[in-house]
Amino acid sequence: MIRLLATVLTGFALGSAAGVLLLTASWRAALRTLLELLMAAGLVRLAAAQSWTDLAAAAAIVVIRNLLSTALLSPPPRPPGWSAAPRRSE
Amino acid sequence: MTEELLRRVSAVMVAAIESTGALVISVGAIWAAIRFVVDGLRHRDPTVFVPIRLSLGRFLTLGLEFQLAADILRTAAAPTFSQIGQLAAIATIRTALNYFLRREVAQEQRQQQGDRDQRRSAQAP
Repeated sequence: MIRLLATVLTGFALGSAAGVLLLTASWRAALRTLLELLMAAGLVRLAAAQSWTDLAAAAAIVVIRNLLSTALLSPPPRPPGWSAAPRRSE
Repeated sequence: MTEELLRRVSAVMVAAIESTGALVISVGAIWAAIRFVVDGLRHRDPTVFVPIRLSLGRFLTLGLEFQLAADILRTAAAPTFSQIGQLAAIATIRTALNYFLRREVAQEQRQQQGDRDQRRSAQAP
């Protein structure tokens, strides 16, 4: 039952991420959506973990998600000479 | 007899608490998945996803609390070292994730608050 729920959540994750990518054309948003929802599926699957392989798979999802989220949370690199302050016209 | 009864009661409670945790996480994930698509359709702007992500983070944190409680209860009936080892690994994963999720939720809340304050000061005469 729990494995079925985890599979359903994985389906929702893929569908939702595809929808976000199509609707916003933002790969960052789509990837974050996918990672968050896949992690939710991984957590549910952890409840039915029977073996060390299941545990390792869940741990891998969590680590990958945290690493990628940290990378995606930081703002994109700005080109050299870019300034946030508006230029004053003289 | 008492030990057997305690094991059975413990097993039922563990199953109930763990299922509650799984249910909370599932409800949160499905709600968030639907909201991502609906709000994406309405606004076509990734910035509207921040409150959805915050809510999902809260659902996951709450679900993890239930699952951690089940892990603690499960240690009451873990007869082999392998089972204890697996429990320790699961509890470590969940605790670490809970910590990172709380930090991210706090960070996104601060970012949202900062954006709101910036907009307010830009609008002020």
